[in-house]
Amino acid sequence: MRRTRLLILGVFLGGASAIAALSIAQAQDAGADAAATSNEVEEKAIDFEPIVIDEKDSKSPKLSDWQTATRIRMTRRGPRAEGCRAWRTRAWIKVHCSARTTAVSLLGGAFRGVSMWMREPPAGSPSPEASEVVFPIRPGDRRVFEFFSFGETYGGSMVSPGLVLQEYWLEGASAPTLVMY
Amino acid sequence: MCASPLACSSPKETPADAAPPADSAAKSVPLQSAASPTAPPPTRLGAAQRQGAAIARSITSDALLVADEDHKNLRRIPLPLASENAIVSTELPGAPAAVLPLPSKVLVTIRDPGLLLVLQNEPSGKFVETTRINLPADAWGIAVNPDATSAFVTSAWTHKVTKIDLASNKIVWSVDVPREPRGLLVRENGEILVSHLVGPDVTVIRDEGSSPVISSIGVMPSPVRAPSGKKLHASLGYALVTSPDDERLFLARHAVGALARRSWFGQPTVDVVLLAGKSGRTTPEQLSALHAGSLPGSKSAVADLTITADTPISIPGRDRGPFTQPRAMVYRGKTNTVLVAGEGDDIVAELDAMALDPTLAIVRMFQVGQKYDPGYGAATECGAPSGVALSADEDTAYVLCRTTNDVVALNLSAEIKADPIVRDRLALVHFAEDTLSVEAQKGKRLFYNATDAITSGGLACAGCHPDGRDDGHVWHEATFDTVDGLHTNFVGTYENVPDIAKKKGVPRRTPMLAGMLGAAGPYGWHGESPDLASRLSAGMGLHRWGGMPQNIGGAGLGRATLITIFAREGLVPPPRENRALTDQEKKGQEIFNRPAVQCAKCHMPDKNYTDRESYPLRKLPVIYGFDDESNQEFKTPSLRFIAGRAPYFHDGRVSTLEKLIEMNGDRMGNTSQLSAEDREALVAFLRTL
Repeated sequence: MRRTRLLILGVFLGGASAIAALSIAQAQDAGADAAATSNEVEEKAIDFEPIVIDEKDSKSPKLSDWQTATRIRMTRRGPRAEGCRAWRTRAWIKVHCSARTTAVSLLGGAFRGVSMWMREPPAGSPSPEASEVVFPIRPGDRRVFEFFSFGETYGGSMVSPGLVLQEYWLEGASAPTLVMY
Repeated sequence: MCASPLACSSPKETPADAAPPADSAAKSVPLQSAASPTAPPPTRLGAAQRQGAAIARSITSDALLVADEDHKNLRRIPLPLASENAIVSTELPGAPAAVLPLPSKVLVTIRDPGLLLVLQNEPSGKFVETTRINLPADAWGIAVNPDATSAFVTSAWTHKVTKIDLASNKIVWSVDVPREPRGLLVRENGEILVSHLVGPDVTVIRDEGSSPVISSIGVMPSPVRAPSGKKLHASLGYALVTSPDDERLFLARHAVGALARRSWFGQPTVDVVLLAGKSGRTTPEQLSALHAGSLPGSKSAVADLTITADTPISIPGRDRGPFTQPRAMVYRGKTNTVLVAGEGDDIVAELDAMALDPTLAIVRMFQVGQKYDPGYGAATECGAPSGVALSADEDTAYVLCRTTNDVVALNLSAEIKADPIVRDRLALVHFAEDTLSVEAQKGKRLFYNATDAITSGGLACAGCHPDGRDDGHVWHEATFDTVDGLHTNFVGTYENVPDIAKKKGVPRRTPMLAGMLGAAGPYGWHGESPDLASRLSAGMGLHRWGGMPQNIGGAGLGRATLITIFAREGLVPPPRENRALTDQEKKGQEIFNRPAVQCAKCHMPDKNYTDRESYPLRKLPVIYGFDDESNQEFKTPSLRFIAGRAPYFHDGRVSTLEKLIEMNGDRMGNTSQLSAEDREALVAFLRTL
């Protein structure tokens, strides 16, 4: 069912940005929808299998990779982030939030390989109702993302504080830590 | 060793070998003297048990102990917390800052005179002093090593850390550290970490016998909110804690100038450092994701339509942190969260300690302050939380509220909900009546309050003037266009001013207030305010983003009057040594008063070292990051307490008194003629003021 189309997808590789293929976003959206409606899916530890870092293969996952990706458990997740889910394939993580979002941004940390996506809002709705980020994981990571929400908090502006995803991977640890509130 | 023989001495009130009687708690958990050759291994205390605070739970968990600074009392409040339970008060020889219950004794720091008291609890609940150890003045924070054989105390104004051997009750060493050391802790490996009210870095002391080695850990305040790569100034570093595994250090403080929408003063922060030690890490590393410009972000169509430079998405969206003016912090081990008391907004925030930036991982915000007075806007119940202690099972937090003399209990085991604001409190106990006049009492509540929209724009007087002192920061006074028009405001760093304004502001170092406000007037750097209340009224306009609220009538001046009364009646000046001048200081005094040098002509000794007149001064080069200032006429500042409040001049361009005299030449008075020896003497005298 084609009920979404790409709004924005920025893929940042080595400082150069490029617009990714439409089909990736469509697939991500569809896959996320399926997962989001099924909360019963088992969430595994982030290192459910060893995370192999292949420096030679830094290509971002394809559609088919995400379709078979493993749902993972965030290390810490607050009640406001209940609508957010995470998947891992190879050394890549995707976090999808079924929540009204006006913008997504990387507030701090490495941007190489990071991409973001927001679903186009349904007719009559002012803001997207889902969004996600995809990023590669490596020991030494330190990243903070924010999924800005929709509201009147900013004196009439539609961009309001939202959910914050924090990811870091300590040297010697088997997996990164994901914290979302 | 005592680095300053003038400021500390050996214990003399109690014989060094006086063995304190053991109380009932000590019988069940004996703490052995390190001197006993047959003693079993001493009890190892956990990280939380090793740190003193303004409020602490007794070893037997049957009471809370409150270091009641404003009434110079140690209060014993029975648990469970209930208003009908009798509170036992013990008068102390000075204002206490921290209390630390140990298995066989209770330690209390006294600010002025600087003391460490060793107390025993009597069956009546009263405390009896068994040992008194003289320390450098303004003794504040306290901690012990894991086997509780040594205590370590920070002395804030005299910027010392002192080690005391608790077996002999003697000082082992006392060392100089940077300005305003406050919180401290002792790690498992014996390393001592010290936080400061002024400045971003943590002092590290390695206790190697009689010669401690001092270094520091550089810590960026709120890196994700800092202008790209910039190390901001930090203030309000009252508290630091480690995780129970001794691997992470948490610093609650204020990041001056940290970015947020309409952030004139910056943002509160809990900065995290991965410590060297168990994990194999050889050097400490700050856990942070640096903010940098041009990071990727995606905006929806609606955001594209509505977003402005005023609503950036490159910095965290919350324009207010989860707490304001951090004053105390504890680590809750069972949930790996930290609880931070926000003195300014009467909130105790529970934050996820597993996060890179705990202020962006808010678990809950307990609104402990309640019943806000409609007349002057401050809490009349649980105002200015200044201490937090946990129950043994960590399911209850006890919060000390300084401006209302309350202790409240919070239920930490309650369900965590999507709405982070929690208003429920389990119990409240009011432990003392205020001894200040009614007006000063209201002024005190306003002085600490950051929520009243008339008094300030989100940061209380105490936010920049902790203890009525100063934050050591040079602010930017800039006139720029805000949502409600053109206004002159203070900002922490020029990056807080919108780019479009092309303003950086003129420099204004935070002045000290305590002990400096006796004169009728004038006030202000240019002497522009005829009296203190009008100066405070003007300050209310400066300390915010944009203009004052509309249609407030005389509410601003009314509040300024209340704060004026408190500032004069309730703020406690820093300690001063009551002693004769040394020969060098006498020589410096003679130079100071010498007509040819002209110091005393304006800095009049009989008028608190100021004539309160304004004089045109030769212009100095513009400091990088600030705008030029046309008005070079400045009021003579008082020199009282000058040794403890660097940096100097209105623009903070000089870091030490030595440099000040060196660069002065004949700009103020005539000091160019002085020999190096004379200059040293003059500085020595200035330090006694």
